[in-house]
Amino acid sequence: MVYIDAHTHFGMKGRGMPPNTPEERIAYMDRIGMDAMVTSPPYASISPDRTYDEANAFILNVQRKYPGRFYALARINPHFRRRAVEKAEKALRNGFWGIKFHPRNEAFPANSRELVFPIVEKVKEYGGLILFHSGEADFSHPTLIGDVAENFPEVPIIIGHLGKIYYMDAILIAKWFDNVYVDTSFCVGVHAIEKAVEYAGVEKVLYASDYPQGSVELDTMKVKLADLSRRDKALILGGNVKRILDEIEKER
Amino acid sequence: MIIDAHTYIGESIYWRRKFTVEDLIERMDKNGIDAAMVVAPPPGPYYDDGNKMVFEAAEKYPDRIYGIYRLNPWFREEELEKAEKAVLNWGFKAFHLDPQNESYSISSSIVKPVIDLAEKLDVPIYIRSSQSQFCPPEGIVFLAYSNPNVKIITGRSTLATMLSAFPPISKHLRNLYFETYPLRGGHNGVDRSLKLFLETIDPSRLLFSSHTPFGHLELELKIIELTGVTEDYRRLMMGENVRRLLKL
Repeated sequence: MVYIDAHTHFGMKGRGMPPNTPEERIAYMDRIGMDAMVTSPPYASISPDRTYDEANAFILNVQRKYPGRFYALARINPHFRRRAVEKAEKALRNGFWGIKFHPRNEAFPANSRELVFPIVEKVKEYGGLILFHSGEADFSHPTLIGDVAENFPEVPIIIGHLGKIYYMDAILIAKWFDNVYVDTSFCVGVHAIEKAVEYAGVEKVLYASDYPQGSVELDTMKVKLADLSRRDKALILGGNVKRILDEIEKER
Repeated sequence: MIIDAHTYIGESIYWRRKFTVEDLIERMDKNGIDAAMVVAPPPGPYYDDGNKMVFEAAEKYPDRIYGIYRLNPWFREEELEKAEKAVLNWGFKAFHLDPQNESYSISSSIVKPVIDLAEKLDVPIYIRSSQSQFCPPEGIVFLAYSNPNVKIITGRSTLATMLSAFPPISKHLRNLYFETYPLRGGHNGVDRSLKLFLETIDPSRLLFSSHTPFGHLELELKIIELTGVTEDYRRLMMGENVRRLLKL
């Protein structure tokens, strides 16, 4: 069984919660039997100029040093418009596996034609996935993410946190669009995971914890407590995200 | 003594299979829970069979299972008579109202006789709160304020709302109680609302609950562990408060 956390963060010392070195983090992963983490810079690593340049560079180095253990997503602040698109393109060329958007923290509607779509266009061109923070009623509502998915059916899109209290919205979006997945980090409970499997299908559900903000122990427990078969749990705990990553690699 | 202040047994369209009192006892044993408050699950509108099952469970396990009587105020007088008997003759310890499931507003005139009966019998009322217009947290606040002699347990998702929107009310409305379910387990698994409530509002009015089998005991207990609740707070929240409230 492969055990991969589909939504984590990784910042350098002073720019995010510890552990801040790849060695410390790998020691933790080895201790709990975790194979890999999909990871992106935390909000805390944003620079005074509101970019993630330094944080993205740090995380790319981590991935290069430990390939197969870390799958890096670049964090992009789309308000920089043309520069943001250029940064995204450069990141994808340099080996990032996709882009992490945080519509709440960077204050933009998830389905913005002006800010978001040009960046997703680049992901479509170079291959990769998009992870959206989700869970609020305004900028990050799952329905807006569904709009992106409908316009970019080739791009795998993950709705973060299973949409939190909007979990049924997130689940239905994942059911209606083949390219949409949900991650379980900070999700409202075991029942949301069971509903996601029931409605959207087990292949659409990805275990995640939002580590180190979130608790790997707690979110893994949610999957293990779910009334699901061992096969389904194995897919959620890593099999599904591994399949998505393998497909991205194959297509690149 | 650890008491789970809110669990269910019975049959429900929301579950895949019937959840018996033996199923509940098994989960309690596995997680070190000594006793549980039990209520019939939704949906209604009829709860006679569900209440009967809870009554039989409490009869069978007198030191471990305590019944909460689920009533539907739309049935008015007839229901009130049953509710009174439930407390006086059948040993139920509290009433349960669910405005969202039974489709009435908490401020509706059909609720007032239930409140009066609870006051007369001196039993608390558990009220399921939600973002539904039938029973928002502010509706519970108003009810508690208007009926200071009735102890009201506000349920589900209300803890965080009460803390963020109504902290002085949460602190000073002494007849308003809170249940812990569902704990969210935020950064590092720490539930900030739980910590804040215990440390700044009132540790004597918080009741541990899991909503088993809707919720999971293991998960709720793990979040409490990760939150790092002190032994004193833990003792109150995990049993002493509910024991005092329900006169167990």
